Amino acid sequence: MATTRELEGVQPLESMIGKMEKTILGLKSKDVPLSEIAFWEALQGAYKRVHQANLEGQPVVMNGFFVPQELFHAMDIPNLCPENHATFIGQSSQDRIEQLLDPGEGYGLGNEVCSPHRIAVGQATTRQMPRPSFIVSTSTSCDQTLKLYEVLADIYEVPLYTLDSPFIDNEAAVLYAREDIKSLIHFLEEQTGRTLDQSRLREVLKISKATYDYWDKISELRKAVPAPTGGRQSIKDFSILLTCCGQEEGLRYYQARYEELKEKVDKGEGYIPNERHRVAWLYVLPMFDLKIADWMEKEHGAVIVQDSFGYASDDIVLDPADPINYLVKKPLKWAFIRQTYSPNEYSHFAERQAKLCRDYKADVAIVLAHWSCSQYCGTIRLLKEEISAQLGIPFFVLDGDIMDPRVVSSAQMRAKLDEFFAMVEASR
Amino acid sequence: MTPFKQALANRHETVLKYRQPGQKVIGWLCSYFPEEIAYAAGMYPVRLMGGSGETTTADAYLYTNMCSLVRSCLEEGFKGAYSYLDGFVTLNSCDHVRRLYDVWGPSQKTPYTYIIPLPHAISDASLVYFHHEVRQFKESLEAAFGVTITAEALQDAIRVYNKTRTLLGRLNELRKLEEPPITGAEFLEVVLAATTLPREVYNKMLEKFVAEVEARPGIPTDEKVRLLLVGSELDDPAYVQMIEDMGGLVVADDLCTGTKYFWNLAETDGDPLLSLAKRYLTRPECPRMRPARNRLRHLRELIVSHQADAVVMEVIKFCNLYGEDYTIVRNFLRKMDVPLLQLSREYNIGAVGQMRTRVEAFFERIWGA
Repeated sequence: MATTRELEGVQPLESMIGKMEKTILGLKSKDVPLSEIAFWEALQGAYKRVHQANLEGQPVVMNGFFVPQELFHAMDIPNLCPENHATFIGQSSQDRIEQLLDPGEGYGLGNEVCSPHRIAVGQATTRQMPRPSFIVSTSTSCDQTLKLYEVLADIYEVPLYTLDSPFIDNEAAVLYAREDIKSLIHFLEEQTGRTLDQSRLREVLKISKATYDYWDKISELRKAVPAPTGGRQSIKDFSILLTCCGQEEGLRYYQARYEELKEKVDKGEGYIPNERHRVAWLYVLPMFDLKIADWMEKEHGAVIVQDSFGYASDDIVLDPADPINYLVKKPLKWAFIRQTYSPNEYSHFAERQAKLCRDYKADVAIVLAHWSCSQYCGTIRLLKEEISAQLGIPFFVLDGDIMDPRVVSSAQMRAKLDEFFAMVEASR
Repeated sequence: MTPFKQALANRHETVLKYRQPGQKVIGWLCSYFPEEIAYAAGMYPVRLMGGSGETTTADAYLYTNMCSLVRSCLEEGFKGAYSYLDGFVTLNSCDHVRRLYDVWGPSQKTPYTYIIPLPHAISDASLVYFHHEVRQFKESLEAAFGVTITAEALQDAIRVYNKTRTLLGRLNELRKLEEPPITGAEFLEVVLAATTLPREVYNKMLEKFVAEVEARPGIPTDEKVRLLLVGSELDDPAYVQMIEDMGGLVVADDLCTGTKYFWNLAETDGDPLLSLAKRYLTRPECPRMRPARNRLRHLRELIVSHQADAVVMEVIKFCNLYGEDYTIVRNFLRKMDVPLLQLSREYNIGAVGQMRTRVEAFFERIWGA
């Protein structure tokens, strides 16, 4: 059972919620797509719930990216994903990124540790986040994720539950994962003194499924020529999935997003007026400079049609009629998990990525070699060989870091992209 | 040069010398690999290790932010050093090893490859699951090589490997003495040789060696800092030697190439595959395993039983598991008032000047206290 704890992270969250409120009001006074407003309302709602629980001394959970948060929603446990929180703060604090990274490094994390993780640990050690009552993580998608939550649990001295995600989702692995989910439910009940209401869980899963269905449809719409949406928007898509999948606000965002994109596709409208390059962006945009996507669109007519975080595995079917199976399979729905966790010989992720490039009619592939992400960088050669063999499209490795501009600055990245697109243009 | 050192120094030649005609050689990486299964199939299991020198070709296949161990292993593959392998088996122990596995298959000519899923948790449920995966591996090996691995063969393999574990356990007990008769460097060398020599050959050498060491005089430790060595994969005794030359004596370790390799026995009754799954799953844990308290408890026991004055944690650059484990171990040892030194290294020893300075300063602090 959660006990009384010191209040931490009060002022930072109040400040964030206040800024989001201003953003929402500002957007409402303009003619903007409904999804823009829905995005900020959903995010604000998630933070408000955490903040309120913190103030009232109610349980708050810190969770990893791919945890089945639907369980938290069904048990009214507000959740905060420190990695997502770290990227959010980093994006809005580019001018003081070193200040965000240094405390984590000062705590003892090397500078080769994933930059959002360093920020998250720094936020924890400087008490900028609400103190969790307990932490829930998964063994996916990488060792650093596995260790981050252990480090956080050590800092906060709170219980930690780590779900053992299937490496290969054979029958035995799924059975094991089912037991793990049941064990997690028991843990949550023990920690909160609450009982999971199965009917409530079913309601939440219905909303979650509806959200994922929209995600599937959006993934499909993004194949259109011209592309109806750009790279930056995709970041918002997965941010909502990480924070409030299973909440009505999350569904509202996805519904609005889908309807907006459908309208554009039905009208044959592109996100940018002069689409010259369709980019498969492997991995994720540099979070410290999301505007690089806008810049690519404006300077080079290059629109990101497909990205690693922004699409759903079409071979994973989620069925809320079996809640436990749903929660087991849900992380696998993220193609990023298929791609970065399962062995290539099993999931054929390199081949699938090449197929995605074809399906999305990508004519260039760019991979951000996130300096602190060993496990994704280890796939680059496989992806290059498969994409080159199947499609022969230009493949560019852009060195950098998703949150630390000291590795490669925005200006340097843009200079390299300039060279790449010049080469592509010259070869056409 | 001891026969162990000889075997290690020329490990490829060792394998080729001892390989029986027609015998298959299975390379493995990660000490969670249930070697007994390959042994029971009549095969010769050998641990993959890297080589010396640059990893230029491997860097183009993996990436420079992958640990230098896996890049070095892959480079050895490209050089042809592992051309004798009939199979390469590993587990999803860490991101680097699983990426090595992804790349090894398409880039090397090893006929058989397999990756065994290893749970991250230790529980009744995870044992059931791991038992299944161990069985799958055994069946895969049988199908690939047209062999039958009987329960009797597995039980025999368990007995042979348990003999190794028992003998190494005896050797390890000697390190608890006030004046251990064996250095950490020599101990590591002896354990590593197990992963290169055929098991029967090794057991004979080891039995003789243990008796010799038991009869040796101890190393005075009045002016030595008794150390527990933990950290990333370490297969170069010279690294340990360097630390010991500066005034330390590694009396205990929690390395996957050290005591983790032989710590616990496999049960000899019942289903041998279940016995192996249990033995490997419940051996002293890697930082990938949950819950961490088991591992920390084991470290405490090692410190107490071996009377370690301090802990040295060596971490290969980019080794995420140990690198991020540092703060957890540090906080734990602070509560025990045990000094900890973290050393960052590459797989191949280099930049020793800085390391020496740090180790010397660390020892001086301990002596001063």
